[in-house]
Amino acid sequence: MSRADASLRVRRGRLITRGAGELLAAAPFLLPSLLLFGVFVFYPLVRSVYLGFHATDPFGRREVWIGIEQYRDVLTSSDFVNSLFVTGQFTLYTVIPATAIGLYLALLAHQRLPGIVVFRTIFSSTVASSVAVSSVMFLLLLNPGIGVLNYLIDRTGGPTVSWLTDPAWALPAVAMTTVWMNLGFATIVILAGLQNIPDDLYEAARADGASPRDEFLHVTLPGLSPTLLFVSVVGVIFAFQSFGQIHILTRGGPLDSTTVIVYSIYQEAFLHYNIGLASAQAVVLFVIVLLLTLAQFAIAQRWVFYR
Amino acid sequence: MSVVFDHVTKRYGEVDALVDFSLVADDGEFMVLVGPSGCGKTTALRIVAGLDDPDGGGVYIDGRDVTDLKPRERDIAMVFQSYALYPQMSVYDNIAFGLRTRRASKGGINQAVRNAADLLGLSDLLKRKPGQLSGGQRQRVALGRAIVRRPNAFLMDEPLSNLDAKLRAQTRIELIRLHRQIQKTVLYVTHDQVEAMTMGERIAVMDRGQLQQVGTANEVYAQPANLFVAQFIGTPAMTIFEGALLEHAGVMAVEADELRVTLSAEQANVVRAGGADAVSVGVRPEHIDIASQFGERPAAAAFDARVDVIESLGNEIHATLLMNARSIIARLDPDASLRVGQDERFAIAPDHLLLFDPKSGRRLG
Repeated sequence: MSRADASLRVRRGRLITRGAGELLAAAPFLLPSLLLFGVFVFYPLVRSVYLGFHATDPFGRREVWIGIEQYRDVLTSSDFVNSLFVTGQFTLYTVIPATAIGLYLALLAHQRLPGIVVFRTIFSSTVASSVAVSSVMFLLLLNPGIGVLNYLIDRTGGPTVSWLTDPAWALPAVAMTTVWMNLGFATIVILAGLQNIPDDLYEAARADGASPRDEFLHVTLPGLSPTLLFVSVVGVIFAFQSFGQIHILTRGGPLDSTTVIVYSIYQEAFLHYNIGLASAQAVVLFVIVLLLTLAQFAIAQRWVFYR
Repeated sequence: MSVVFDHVTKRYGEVDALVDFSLVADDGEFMVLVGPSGCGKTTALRIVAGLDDPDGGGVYIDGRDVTDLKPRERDIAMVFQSYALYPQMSVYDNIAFGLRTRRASKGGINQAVRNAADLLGLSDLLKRKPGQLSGGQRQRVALGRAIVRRPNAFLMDEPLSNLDAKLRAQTRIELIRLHRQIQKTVLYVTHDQVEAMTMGERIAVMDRGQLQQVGTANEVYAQPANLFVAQFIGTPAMTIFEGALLEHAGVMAVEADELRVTLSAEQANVVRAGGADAVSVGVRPEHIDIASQFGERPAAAAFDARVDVIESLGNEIHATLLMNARSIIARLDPDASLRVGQDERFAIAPDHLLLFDPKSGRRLG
């Protein structure tokens, strides 16, 4: 063995011991979050996959291996396909309006005017209200008898709507609530994105003779593209995870018209005590969200510009 | 097309950015606005561009009052320090943008963009995005975006300051050539006096919102209007000795601390005409040398000093000398054998002394 080899080996040995030493030093810092993630994320995730392959009693015990049977049931059941469809609709109804209105409010709040901070605070205030509070608020607003919304429609001569009990209107009503809830988040993030676009670009565009419309199309939108991607990805994930507002406003009804996947999982697990089937649904949901997010990033590659 | 500032004033809150600022850049002239940061040079440029409105006074381009016109109606092009290229657009689209906003024909745009790209050596890069370009290439795209529209005047805001030293020197020369080719008025803002001296056909020196002097590089260097210009232009900066006037047997001298600077008869006349009893004497570093080098030549003053710092540039040495607490900078021959800490006798050449009124700061004569 040459001396170079020997010294290399010694050095590698040192590297390994140093690596181990560093890991030991890092462990106390990593432990708390590893513990939390482990208990609340990793373990349930693994457990869900596992339970998906087992039939259980109503308490999730006495597990019997039944293979992919439940996954097949999930994917072929008309209920699941319905909940998938409802979730898709719900996603469209929430992500697009929340992003568009958030963009509009952020553009308004981005103006340099005296007192604009007040409006920025108002526009972003919905982040501070919980799902339960927002839902109860809308429960009142949407009430067919005493709700403000029907009152306004009535005053303007329109036909009033049974918002939460009409199968045609329940999902839009829940989506409306959700848009309101997500608006604050979207506005804050887009406002931050706007503030990141350098003034130079606007000034260059103005010197180049750009109209306000040109500025919006060629400076603002491209500059916001990473932000809009982020807001829409998070919006899709929010939509797929929505539960509280549905539980409070409609309980999945009427006629399953608001039973999104998460609500279907809840019903399967805690109303029908079908833990295995619910787990299988949860795993399918996980895969769908993962694929959707990857797809969004892949599509966005074509038009998102990171400076 | 000439660019005229007519008594322009501008305040930002409590700060006077421009005070009664008047300046004329002639048709086709390369005019450099130079000054320390906060002197108002960028404000002046932004007001010509229409990005800021003046509080008072007017701006004229080619004799036309443009004070209240929008940027797009002024027919000017601006090059920004950051280049401000549109990151999502190709080089071609960046250059074409200003033509498209003016609804030029497609064939016309294509021709104009290719001509500009040829002129700037960008023809092979037209499909790239700004993110894929080097700093120097981005700078050229920013220039291309400006020249493609054939504007009345070019406004450039420190366009070279983001380049490394070597590229900056190269681009300086390219810009001078480019200006010779297109012969359009250029207003060029910089804080770098080397850029100002080398590029400007005339230089406008500014300080605290006020125009201090306009002139060629030689004029502002050899005949600075006041103490500010004298100390701002020239590296290393000139040393100022302020002292009382003495007259003995028809010979006038300035006594600053233990230094006595003898004035020539001509200089003495200038001082007498000024009527002051004190005077500030400015001495450029190249007019100070080791006393023994003077030989038989007369010196205006001689003094003993300790060598404090030596900066060797290869072709010359900048020596910071300490005379008691006063520091004096001398530009010396590279062969001068000086060591840090050495005590030596130095002398000041008599011919190029600059004399100022210490109260008003104005140069006498």
